[in-house]
Amino acid sequence: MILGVPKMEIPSTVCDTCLIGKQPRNAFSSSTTHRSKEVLNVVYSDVCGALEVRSLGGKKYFINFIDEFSKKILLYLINAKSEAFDMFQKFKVLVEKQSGKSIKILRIDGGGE
Amino acid sequence: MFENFCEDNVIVHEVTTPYAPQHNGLAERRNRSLLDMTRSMLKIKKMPNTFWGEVVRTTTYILNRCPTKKLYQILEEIWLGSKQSARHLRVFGSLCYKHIPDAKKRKLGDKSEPMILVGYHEPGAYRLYHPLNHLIVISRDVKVYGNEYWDWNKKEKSYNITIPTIIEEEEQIEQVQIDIEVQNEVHVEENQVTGTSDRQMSVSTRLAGHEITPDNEINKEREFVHFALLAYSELINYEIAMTEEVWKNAMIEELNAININNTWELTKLPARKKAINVKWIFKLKLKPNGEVTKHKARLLARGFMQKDGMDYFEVYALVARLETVRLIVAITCGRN
Repeated sequence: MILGVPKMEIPSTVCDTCLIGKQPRNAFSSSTTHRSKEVLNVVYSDVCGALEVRSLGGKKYFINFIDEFSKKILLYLINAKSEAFDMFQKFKVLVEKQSGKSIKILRIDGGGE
Repeated sequence: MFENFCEDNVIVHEVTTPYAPQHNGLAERRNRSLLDMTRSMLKIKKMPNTFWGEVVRTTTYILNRCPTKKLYQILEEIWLGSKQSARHLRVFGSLCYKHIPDAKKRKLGDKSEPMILVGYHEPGAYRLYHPLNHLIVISRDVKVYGNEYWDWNKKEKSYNITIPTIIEEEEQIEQVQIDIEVQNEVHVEENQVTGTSDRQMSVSTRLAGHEITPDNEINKEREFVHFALLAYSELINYEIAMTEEVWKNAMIEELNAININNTWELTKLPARKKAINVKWIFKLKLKPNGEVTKHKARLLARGFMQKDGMDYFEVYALVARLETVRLIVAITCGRN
């Protein structure tokens, strides 16, 4: 293509400089592994907030719990992130009573909750 | 604490790797849907953002009654295992009219009042917001107008006044007058609603033309609308009163008055009897405009320290009783 440039070969060895200079993230698989065979096998949870205005009841955050199998959401409004644990206990009792099953895996991010 | 709880309940607690919210994909994606829906629902009905709590709750309610791309079934049905109905779903934030129960209404009273739909209440009812007295009520007798919404910029009942685009001057004045009338009406209404009884309350003529707000009303910054600072206050403590010149003078005045009127005479205390304590009461006498005219001190006997049946009737009020006056008049008449 360009005159005078010798043919280059892609090096097969791992190069330090390349990794330090330009390592990208590994790809996330587009399809997630569905692990649940029944309700409450895996529960995902996340806290959202702080929102810029308080709600009518003066709350600033909300926490949601999502069951992987049914994808059903349960949502609670909370005042502070520290209330998340209380809400989880509340959620656990409610949900286990409703379904007669128990929560096996809970997945949350390590955001200080 | 949390780890202990999980261990006790045999729950595997998975914390996603740092800076990889993608691992918590299900929760994060759902959060995005929730907030997207919340934002659109607030915008289309032009509602203030403080309603996000109600909106987010309603969005979960709706999402739980929808199928997802992967699951061709309504989520709540998978969860509960029974068929769900969507017949009761209405447009969020719509203007609606709530039926007023007969028990709460007078014969000629309104049969319904305007409200805003802000959610669903489990056994087949709606959550409604009263935009004038800022209350959330639950009712099942609701007529919803899905295309209408409350005008949040105006406090009055502005939704049913249609202002023509081209108006002549005379008409304009009329229009303004109507506006004012409506405003007055609303204020009276607010008063009625905040009162505890259902009786008709009318604003006294003295207060006509003033804006009336309840004592406990709070403004947008959550501060009290009304508060008063006391410049002068009445004392309750004798020790403090002794240190202030005005109160000391007032007490001396009272003691002099007692001496002049011969209110007391000194006696010996009967055996095994307790003397009744006295107490100083300090009062401020005010002019109608709030200026202090007089500091007044009263020395009072603590009459409640007597006991019924023992010495209850021994003490009389300092005032002459009508019977005594009548008796004296009768005696003077009898003896000319």
